[in-house]
This record gives sequence, C-alpha cells and structure tokens, in this order.
Amino acid sequence: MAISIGPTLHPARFFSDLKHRRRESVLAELSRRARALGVGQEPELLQATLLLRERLGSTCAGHGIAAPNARSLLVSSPLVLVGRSRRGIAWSAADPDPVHLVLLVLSPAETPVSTHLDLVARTLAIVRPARVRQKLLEVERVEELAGILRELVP
Amino acid sequence: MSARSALVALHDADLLLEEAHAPDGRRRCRALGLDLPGLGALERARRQLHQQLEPHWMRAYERARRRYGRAVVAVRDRVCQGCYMALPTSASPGAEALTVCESCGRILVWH
Repeated sequence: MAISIGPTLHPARFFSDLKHRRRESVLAELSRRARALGVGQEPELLQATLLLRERLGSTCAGHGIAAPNARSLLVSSPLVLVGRSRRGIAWSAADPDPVHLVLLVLSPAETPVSTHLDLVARTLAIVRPARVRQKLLEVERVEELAGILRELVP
Repeated sequence: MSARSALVALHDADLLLEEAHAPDGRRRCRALGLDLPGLGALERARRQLHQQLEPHWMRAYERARRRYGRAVVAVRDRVCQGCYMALPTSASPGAEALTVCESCGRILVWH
C-alpha cells in the first residue's frame, strides 16, 4: 500500500538553512530533527544507518538533489524531511556538484521495500522539475517552501 | 558500540541488503539516479557488525532471522511488534538491555 505524501508536507518538516556543509554532519542534523519531531529515535544510530545506505551507493540524484533514505528500526512512522542549503553540501567524492536540496525519506522497518521506494520516487519526482528546484532555492520563508511543495502534491 | 547498538545497526544493514537484493530494488534505485555500487562495502560492514556481537546474541539473531526474516523488533506500548503479544510487566529492562520475546523469540529493542 502506498504511503500518502501529503501529511508529510508540514512546515515543521522543512529546514531552509542547513547549518553544515558535509554530508555526515547534515545527516546527523536531520536525524536529530527527526527525533525532535517524535518520529526517529536515537539520532546517532539513525545517522549510522543513513551512512550505511551511503556505503551502498551515494544518494545524490543529480541536479543538486540528494535523497538519503532508509527503513529502520528507529523510525516509528513514514517521514519526509526537506533541508535546503544555499551554500551547497559536498555530498561525496563521486558527486562533484554541491547538493542544495536534501530530501530525507524514512520508513519504519516493517515497510515493504517497494512501498519505501515508492515514497522515495514520489518525493524525488516532486522536486525534479527545474522550475520547482529554482523556486525552492529562492523562497525566503519556510512557510513558502512548504506551500510550493503542497501545491504540487495531489 | 554496545551490543544493543550493534544489533540495531546489523538489523538496519540487513534491511538495506534486502533492498539491494530485492527483485526490482536495484533497477528502481538506478531509475531514480541512485545506483548501488557498494554492495561489497555494505556486506563487509555487516560482517564487522556481526563480529561485535557476543556468540549467544549472534545465534539468537541468526535463528530469528532465518525464521522470520527480521530478527529484531521494537517494543511499543509494551507490545512486541513482531508477534503483537503483550509483554509481561516483569519484562521492562533499562534502555541498554536486550531481551528476547518469550512468545516469538525475536530480539526486542525498547526505546
């Protein structure tokens, strides 16, 4: 069964100015945010899982977008967090271009693989169009950022 | 890393491996621009995590994994999320302790 993406698009789940410029630190920051939202447990362990996912392959999807994602025992319900970095993040040696939008997609461990990948795919599909990416990078307030994405979700 | 942390990391590593080995997991990831070239690196990381476990936890993990697919489950509201049996009040360890569900044998992680 598909996970509805609409409820995930709350302004509390957007971070318009990620503090860090390295992938490891950004994943730690977003893991802490997930805990603050009551969805992710034990941020250090969650970051370790996300780093294991990066070992499997970089989650940089091109065009300045990264979609770190995992199913985890530490996650109690599906969650999408959107982080923006105007300065850019050095994601991995294999991805020379900086990442400006980070879409963290988390699912509980019991989620089937196909359901989790559907959520990743639908999240990426929303931000792939160049005009959307541009808008997301330009908006000033987090409410606008959330509003733009909400308009795009049926 | 504590035994509990190693078990949680091992469990999540196995979920990632399941994704990489799923019939269309690799194809779908590639279609999203997320290739999976690091299968060997992840398998090495898994072996390292496995070696951190004490032998009895290693055996309990592999036994439950063979039987159920997932060997470790969370406890929510005192209910094992593997078999959904309510756990007795005596089964309430500290955050770092590990226990096994007396009903199904899965390893329990209490948050």
